[in-house]
Amino acid sequence: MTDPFDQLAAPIEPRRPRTTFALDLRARLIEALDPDLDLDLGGSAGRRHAIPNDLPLINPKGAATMASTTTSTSGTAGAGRPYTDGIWSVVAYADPDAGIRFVTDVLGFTEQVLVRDDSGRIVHSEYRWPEGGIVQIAGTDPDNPFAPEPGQKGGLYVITQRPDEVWARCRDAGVEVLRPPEEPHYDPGGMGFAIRDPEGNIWSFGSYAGGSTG
Amino acid sequence: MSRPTASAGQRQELIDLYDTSLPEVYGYLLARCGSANVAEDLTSETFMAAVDAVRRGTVPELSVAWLIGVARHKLVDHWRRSGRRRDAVAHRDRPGDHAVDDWDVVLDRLTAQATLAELADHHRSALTLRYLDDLPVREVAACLGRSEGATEVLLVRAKAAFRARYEHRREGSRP
Repeated sequence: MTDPFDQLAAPIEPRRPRTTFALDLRARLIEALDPDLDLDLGGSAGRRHAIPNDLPLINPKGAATMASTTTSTSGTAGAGRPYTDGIWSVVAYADPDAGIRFVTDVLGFTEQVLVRDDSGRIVHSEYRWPEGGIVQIAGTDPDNPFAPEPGQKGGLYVITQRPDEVWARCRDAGVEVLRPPEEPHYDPGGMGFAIRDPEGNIWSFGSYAGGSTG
Repeated sequence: MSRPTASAGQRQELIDLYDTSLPEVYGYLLARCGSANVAEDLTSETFMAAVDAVRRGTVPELSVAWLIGVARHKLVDHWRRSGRRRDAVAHRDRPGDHAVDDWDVVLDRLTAQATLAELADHHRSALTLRYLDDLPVREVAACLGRSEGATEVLLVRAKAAFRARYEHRREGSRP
């Protein structure tokens, strides 16, 4: 007779923890491995930082005149190897400071890096979605091919397991609703909605996290 | 005197291992403790212990298997810490009434998980290591800090306690 307890066998099934947890733990490991190393791990808001040479600048012309950098959150991994998703997207605003307030206060992104030149123009920025991913907020600059026109066509889809919370903030801010919260037919039990921000950029939020090829 | 520090190579090796093995360590713990919060705490403890071991130079081979071994100890420690609260439950088990030699059953997975979570911590640890992790008795004994003989006895009692609680749950769930 076989041992019924053999049915309890549970081979390891890999599971991804929350992105914020993974990032925080990675930063703690690096710090613990060598507390004397001065790694660029972020820190308190507004802390000044040396600007790494390999930042993917969204305004290459600004590189020579970068004046101030602020970072916050511990998102940047050590040794210049960010542990993050493979695609970043640029979102342009005619009034980038208002755009930054919108994506942080209303949508819920957190500021990770913001670099300005002497005139206050943004030359690089990273705004992290707490559940994974980065958008780069840019001003419009006719000379900069990397900065799209404001009110870009198309839009961004942002995955969140807390769409109700994001929706509540959007609703309270009175944003233009393109698609009210609903359960998509492709995401049973899920929720998604879409809005247009004050400059016309389209943002879609939802719990749907991608299909399977299997 | 400063604490021992890891060489640059070891440091990179551990961070690389973190990047590749995090889902396995977390997945191992999540499936066994059933709580994302606890799994995160134990995952943190596992990797911080790994940092400590690397700095002390006590890692035989830095690998996923070694990390899972560390995670296993953290899991057992966690259950041991919470064990006191389970004593009242443990006393209600009467292993003598439920020998398992003649038990022939197809286990319902969810009921089995709920049953494991109800057991006294040393019973849950023993069954998890022996059956979920499929470790030989010798390794279960080493992990629990008991002799092989004592572990054999513990396993018999743990299986009896499991059967009693499992059957109690199944009876309770009938319409």
